[in-house]
Amino acid sequence: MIVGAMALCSILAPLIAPHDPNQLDFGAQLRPPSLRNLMGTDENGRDIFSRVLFGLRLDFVVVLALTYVSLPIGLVLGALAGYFGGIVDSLISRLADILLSFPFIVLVVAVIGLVGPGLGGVLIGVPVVSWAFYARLARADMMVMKELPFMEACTALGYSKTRTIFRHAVPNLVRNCLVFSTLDVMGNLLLLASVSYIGLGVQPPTAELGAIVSGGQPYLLNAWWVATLPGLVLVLFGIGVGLIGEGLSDGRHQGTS
Amino acid sequence: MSLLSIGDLSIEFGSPADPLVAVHAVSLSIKPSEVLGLVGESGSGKSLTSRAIMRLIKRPGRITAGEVLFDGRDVLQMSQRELRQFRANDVGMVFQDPFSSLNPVFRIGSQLVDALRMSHDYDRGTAQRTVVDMLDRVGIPRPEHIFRAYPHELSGGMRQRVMIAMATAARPRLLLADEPTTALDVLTQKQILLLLSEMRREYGMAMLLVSHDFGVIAQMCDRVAIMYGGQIVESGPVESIYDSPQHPYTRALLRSVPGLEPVDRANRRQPLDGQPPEIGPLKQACVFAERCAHARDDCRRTPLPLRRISEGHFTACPFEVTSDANYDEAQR
Repeated sequence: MIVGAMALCSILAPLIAPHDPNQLDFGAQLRPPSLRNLMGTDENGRDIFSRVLFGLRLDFVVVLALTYVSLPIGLVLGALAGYFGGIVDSLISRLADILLSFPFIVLVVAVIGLVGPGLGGVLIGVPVVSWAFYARLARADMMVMKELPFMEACTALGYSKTRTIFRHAVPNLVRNCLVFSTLDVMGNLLLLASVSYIGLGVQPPTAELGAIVSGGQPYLLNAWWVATLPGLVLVLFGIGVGLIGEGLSDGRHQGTS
Repeated sequence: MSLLSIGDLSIEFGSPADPLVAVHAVSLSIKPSEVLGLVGESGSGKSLTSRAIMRLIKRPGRITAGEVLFDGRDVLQMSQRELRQFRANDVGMVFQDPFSSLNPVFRIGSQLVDALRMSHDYDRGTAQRTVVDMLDRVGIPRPEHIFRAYPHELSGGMRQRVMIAMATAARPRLLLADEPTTALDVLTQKQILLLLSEMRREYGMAMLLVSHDFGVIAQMCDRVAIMYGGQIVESGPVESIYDSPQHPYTRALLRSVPGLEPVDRANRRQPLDGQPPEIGPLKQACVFAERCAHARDDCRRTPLPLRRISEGHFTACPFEVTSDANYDEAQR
């Protein structure tokens, strides 16, 4: 519901935003929330509500892209590792271990250092690391599933290995990965916000929630709304995604019992 | 000419230097449309033997010797491609546990359509219609409805019916049934066995029925082979084995089957003392010697080969059955 409403808002952002998010108005700097500016205005007189809508739209797209690029990569690699074991497993698992042994954000910042600040760095950096989470998850599930009779039944029916793995095993692994991905969406959202917050993510003047919060921070004492209201939107988004995850995982338990 | 003939099959676990022999020198043959029963207790190697026919032995188990000739071709020598063809078209397998033998995330129908299209060049529509027919044939009520159901919506018996439909989708010439009714309740067992023999007759399939239940075997099979400790100790036509079991283990097994007669001192069931052998290195002795009341020193020193008793009836026991008072009593 929450996420749905937010998705709708962000899709319709250009239609419902009362103002141009980048329109400067030096006559209306740091105005408190009012009917004209629902969330007030920032230090440059831009309408925060409009900026939040556009920021949400950007965050939505970027975060979903980040998560659902990492998921299939990790899923496939993990499935292969779990199914074949041995050297394939060692290669994939060690690589994942190495990536996961660093603090996530450090690696992402390192990649951004290579690519240069901006969305590009985040878009490359996050999947480079976060596939490893999915790979681990899928590998563990696959190792359990490999021993189940229906996998043997697939072999007994003369299905090829490729067919057994991708058509019959992988769909069973997706559910767990999806549940985890809702956590990951939240993580990525915060990551994107934090990276933008420290100035390595989305570059001004583009509206992005983290960047808006960061931009509003200096005025926290005399214009609280600039940082706080977009921050609340961020929190709300996180809660919404978390609820979806919970729903998915409940559904999973019903399905298997 | 046999449809399937297994010769001197051995399956080992453990390291090659220190092998644990799970199946040793097993030979079997099944003629077209014949039903062979394979009986034995847990760990006697009967499931392994049936799996070896489709090369489904998982590591660390391995087939170390022997041949599995299907229609004259050695399954153990087939390339991966030939093996897939063989599995898809020539044999079908019904597993022990219907609860986890179906993929939980796909609808029954789509799994069957998949299986069917492995062996037939059907387009999707034809395949779907055929699958509904198949479901109907294995006795599933409202097949169009079940077609769209997920495995967890079905009972164990229903799932086993689906498994049978799947295993027979390709109209294989040989059906391997590895304890197909162990996980089911008694009434369902009966129905599934009936279904299996119907399908077998209708399609003219040969069948290998693995079971530890002598009653089931007697009802279903033409011939039976009794396994103990990874070896065949006796084999022959069902009537012959029933009327004159030769091997002490077979006799013990028959004595342990509950009958319908009231239990009194005379026809009391007789349990067999001792434990089945643990898997280990091959012993130069009769596998049953440790638990055998008739064992002599020779039995513990040399392995005993199968010898012929009568037409098609073989036993590993070298002694003639003359005086087995307990057995005679139990028969009466």
